[in-house]
Amino acid sequence: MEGEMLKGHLDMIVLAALAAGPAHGYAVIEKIKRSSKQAFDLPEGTIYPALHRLEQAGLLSSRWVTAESGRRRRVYALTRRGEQAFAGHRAVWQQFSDAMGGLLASARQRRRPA
Amino acid sequence: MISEYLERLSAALSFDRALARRVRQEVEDHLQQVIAADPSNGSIAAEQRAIAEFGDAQAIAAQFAMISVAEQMKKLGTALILVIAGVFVAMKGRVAWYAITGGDPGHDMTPITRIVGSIDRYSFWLSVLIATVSFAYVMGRPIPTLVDARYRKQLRCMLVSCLAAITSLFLSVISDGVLTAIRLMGAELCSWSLVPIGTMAIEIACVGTLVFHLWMTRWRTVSAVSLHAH
Repeated sequence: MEGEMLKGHLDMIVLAALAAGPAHGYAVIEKIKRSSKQAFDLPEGTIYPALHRLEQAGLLSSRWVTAESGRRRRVYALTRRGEQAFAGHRAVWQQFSDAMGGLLASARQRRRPA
Repeated sequence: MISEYLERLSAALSFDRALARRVRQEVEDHLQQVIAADPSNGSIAAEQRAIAEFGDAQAIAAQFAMISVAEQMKKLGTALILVIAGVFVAMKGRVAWYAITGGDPGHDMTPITRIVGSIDRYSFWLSVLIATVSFAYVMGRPIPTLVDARYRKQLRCMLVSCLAAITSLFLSVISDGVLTAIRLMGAELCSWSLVPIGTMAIEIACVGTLVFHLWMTRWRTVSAVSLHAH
């Protein structure tokens, strides 16, 4: 999928990846790839600035945890505001998706030969 | 190879040491996980792939830099409001002290003290007005994902409005200093003068803190914008 197209929806993608529960950056990237069946293959480095930006906007919170390897890891979670923002994004996206689906279906029907 | 990459990333963010440290730790952890998940675990090729997938250090640093600038701007806006409140409390405290110990400060008004008093008052309220508008402007801006000419203009606007508020406040504090000096000139230095001198010191320290904050914000903004220019 087009990188620029994905970047326009980056906030929603990251919020969606964290909706299931707290995760660190690597897990967020893996979840995005897995859930989108590899369609959303964003440059990995773009996810971390997005996580920081969303945290600063108050949509995410974060804390350091120590992994089994002994390495410190930053874990992100949705805040109450983040959950609300995600619900808003999802509703708008659902509406857009339904409308676009309907439009494309009608275009398909018209092109069928009589 | 990984450490060289991390070094480049944190060097680009050296203007914000806390952010540079945090980003370095996070990215290092990420890259180590990618390398561990790679079939050729630990090889140089795995390191190269992990770095390539992560992206250009300079470009990533530029994205983090803008977040740092936005955060610094918000801190500056908040500091502006808090410092003005602090100066106001110091001013009112001094006036109250005069009233308690030496009668109404409005009594021995000469033309000079009247003029300086007016400058003090108007410049202070002007700084309140500009600071309130600046604060609302800074807090209302979302953090952009990319820095374009429009955002650069917004940043310049934020810095100039904060500078205007600080200049106005500085003028008010200078006027306060003149008024305090005039009042203390005739009096002997004793424990009574500690309150006027102390409150003046607080006002000067407050403005000094703001100037330092503004300088730091400007420096970060220039560094962040130059990262984008690269």
